[in-house]
Amino acid sequence: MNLSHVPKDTKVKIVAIQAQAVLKKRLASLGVSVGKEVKVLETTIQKNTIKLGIGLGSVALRLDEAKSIDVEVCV
Amino acid sequence: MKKIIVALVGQPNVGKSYLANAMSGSNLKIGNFAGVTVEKATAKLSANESEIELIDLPGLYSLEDFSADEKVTKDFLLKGEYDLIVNVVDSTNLDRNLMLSIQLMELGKKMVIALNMDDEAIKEGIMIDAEAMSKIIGIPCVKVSSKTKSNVETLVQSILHVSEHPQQNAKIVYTDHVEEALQKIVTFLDDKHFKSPRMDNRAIAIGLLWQKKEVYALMHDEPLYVELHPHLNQALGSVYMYCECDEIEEVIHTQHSAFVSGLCAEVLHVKHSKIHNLTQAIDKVLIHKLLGLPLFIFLMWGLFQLTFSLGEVPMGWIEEGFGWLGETIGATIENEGMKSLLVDGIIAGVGGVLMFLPNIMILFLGIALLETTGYMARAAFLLDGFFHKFGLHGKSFIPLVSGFGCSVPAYMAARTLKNKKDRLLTMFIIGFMSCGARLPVYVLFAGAFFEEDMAGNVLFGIYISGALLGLMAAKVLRVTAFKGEDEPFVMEMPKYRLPSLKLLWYVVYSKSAMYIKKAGTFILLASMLIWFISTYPKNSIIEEQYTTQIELLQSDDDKSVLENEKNEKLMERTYLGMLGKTIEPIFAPLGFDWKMSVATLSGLAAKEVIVSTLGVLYSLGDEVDEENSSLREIIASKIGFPSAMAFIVFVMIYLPCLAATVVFAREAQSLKYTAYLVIFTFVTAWVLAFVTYTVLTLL
Ligand SMILES: Nc1nc2c(ncn2[C@@H]2O[C@H](COP(=O)(O)OP(=O)(O)OP(=O)(O)O)[C@@H](O)[C@H]2O)c(=O)[nH]1
Ligand SMILES: [Mg+2]
Repeated sequence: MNLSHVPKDTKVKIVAIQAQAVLKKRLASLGVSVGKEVKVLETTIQKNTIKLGIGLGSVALRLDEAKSIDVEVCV
Repeated sequence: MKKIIVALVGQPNVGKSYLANAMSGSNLKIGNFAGVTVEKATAKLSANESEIELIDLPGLYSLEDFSADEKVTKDFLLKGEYDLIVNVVDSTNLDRNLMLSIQLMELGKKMVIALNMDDEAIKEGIMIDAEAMSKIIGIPCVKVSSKTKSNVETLVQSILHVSEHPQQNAKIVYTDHVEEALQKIVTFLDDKHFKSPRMDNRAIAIGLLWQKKEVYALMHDEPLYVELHPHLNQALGSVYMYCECDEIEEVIHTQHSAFVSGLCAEVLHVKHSKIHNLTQAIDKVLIHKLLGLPLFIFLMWGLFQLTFSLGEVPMGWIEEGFGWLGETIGATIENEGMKSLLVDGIIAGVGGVLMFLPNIMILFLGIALLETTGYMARAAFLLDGFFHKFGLHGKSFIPLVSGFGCSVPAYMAARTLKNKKDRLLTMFIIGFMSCGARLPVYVLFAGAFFEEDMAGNVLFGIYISGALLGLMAAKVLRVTAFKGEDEPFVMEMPKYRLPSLKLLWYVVYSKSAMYIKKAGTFILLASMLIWFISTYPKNSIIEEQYTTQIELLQSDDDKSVLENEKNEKLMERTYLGMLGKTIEPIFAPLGFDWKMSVATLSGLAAKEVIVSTLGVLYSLGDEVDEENSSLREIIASKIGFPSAMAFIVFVMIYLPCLAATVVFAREAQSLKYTAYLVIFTFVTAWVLAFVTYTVLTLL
């Protein structure tokens, strides 16, 4: 499953990121990297952009970027 | 006195600028979003016989090249002159921040870590054992708060201490096989008695193993490189084998993450996080799916309503004050020329501009609130989808908002956009966001042509239509001149913060002071110049002709009509009149008379000059009409509605002032694009003003 399909407020764990090196690096430096637990907190009306909660902070992403992030639901 | 140069480095929005202010009493710009500082700035303080020079740098997430502002920092770190790095870290987001700290530690420079925002950490129940941390990594770590200034003095002492003592190596521990590989390279370098002035051998080994271009460049010219090469290959090979991966970036990331999690496990304890929940709760409303956008529009609308209605009252006082001043001075001075210079030139010009100070203050307060509360990133979040359709990046919102204040910092703020095309595109449309200097023109015309309770809406309408036009222009440019790949949108959303009153006051105060200063210097000179070239040369023939004619007339009404006609004729024969008459044909299709045409041109120097020029020109030609004394009333009676609207449209779009254009040229690093900007804005302004005029005349 990729992040774009995750319903709001569900805790998921990142298992892989399939993006270009530059984007991957940027995501990593904002704390979005493999093994991290994240939650979709908010989406815009057309779901173009999502707000992701990681640890204590939050990050905004476009849905296109979210598609490249593979996750699994935490139990 | 000894001089110590300190580079303040850290991720964006961790409080580097605030810390510099707290340490030195400087007034660097602070805001609650990533990318406030885009250019390096310095602040100085003295302590224990030494002078400490703080270099405040743009924040950067990692040392990898990304956007133009981050490059400023990286270039400085690698090539600049400095004695030590103060790595500023957000204590409430330690693990993420430490990922950069490690990269900095690998540079092999003297370093101190400032664990900033300690006040927030305490409130949020986050405890960091700074002492243990210092021991583990071998770098002094000091908890500070820029806000409460607690421990700032300790930090200064740490800086002095580190700068006076020989460098201690930072202790980063990698996994065993990486350590082994590093040790081999270090041993080789040591055996060859290799020494570099910039880095020690371990730092070089790390740089080589991590395949950092800068380190390779450094070593490549060394004769020993030939021998080094096979050792390096071997080391890399073994690292790849053990890490079971073939990309060095990934190896680095895993190594760093492992060290950071280990470190955090030792020194970081989190109890509860109420504050964090507060931000999420506010976001539930402010970026709500359905409510978010309407709320944003409502807030903007409210700002412009306030700008007009709250500003209206003090504006009236200032206007009356200058009116009184003009009359008093006019009554005391005998010499006609002198009197006209003072009353029609200086007071009308400078007073006309100063009158709008209250409006400017409210606008800047609004922008400051947007910048310091954390709402900026939310607005970018809400608008990204919309912006994206027009080929813009959500982050473009930040420079565009700065553009409502002044285009100059806005062009610089565009540096936070990584992609060159996104950046240029954003810079092209910054001009559509009407800057604060245009506000006086709008307030003047909105007040003159609309009812008082509508004027605020009109003002809002002007700004919104400017912004919408900008978006459309972006779309056009996107499909023609700036085709290109979409840039990913990834942006940090900071927590909400209440700005301190002191900070807000300072922003408003400094902007007002700047405005007044500009009015007292630049606008003053411009008004005198305009007055001079619109008064001289005197044409005595017309003067005499009319005077004799006027004397023959009986009724006062006829007299005043003729008197006005005389003034008009006289002005048309002055230098400015002649210039105005020459350029009038260009602006005639837009319904501008020669005075408006001249004002438009003069606005190129600075947008406020439009108002002062109109003030001078209309007050010179209007000495007789006693009732219509305020500029607003004169304009309402002299300019037709369609022409006035066309004028607003033109001012809304055409080139920002010359100073801004120069900054554009510097930031875009291209004369070609600057020429495009000039042509693009003038053509668009002319065409749209023409359409406005034609449509309104037909109606
Ligand atoms: N409570 C609290 N807030 C702080 C502290 N230091 C900074 N802030 C806030 O954090 C935000 C960012 O501060 P800046 O100084 O602009 O951050 P910066 O690191 O210079 O950011 P960039 O220039 O964008 O890289 C502002 O809203 C500050 O008010 C602190 O010690 N305590
Ligand atoms: Mg800063």
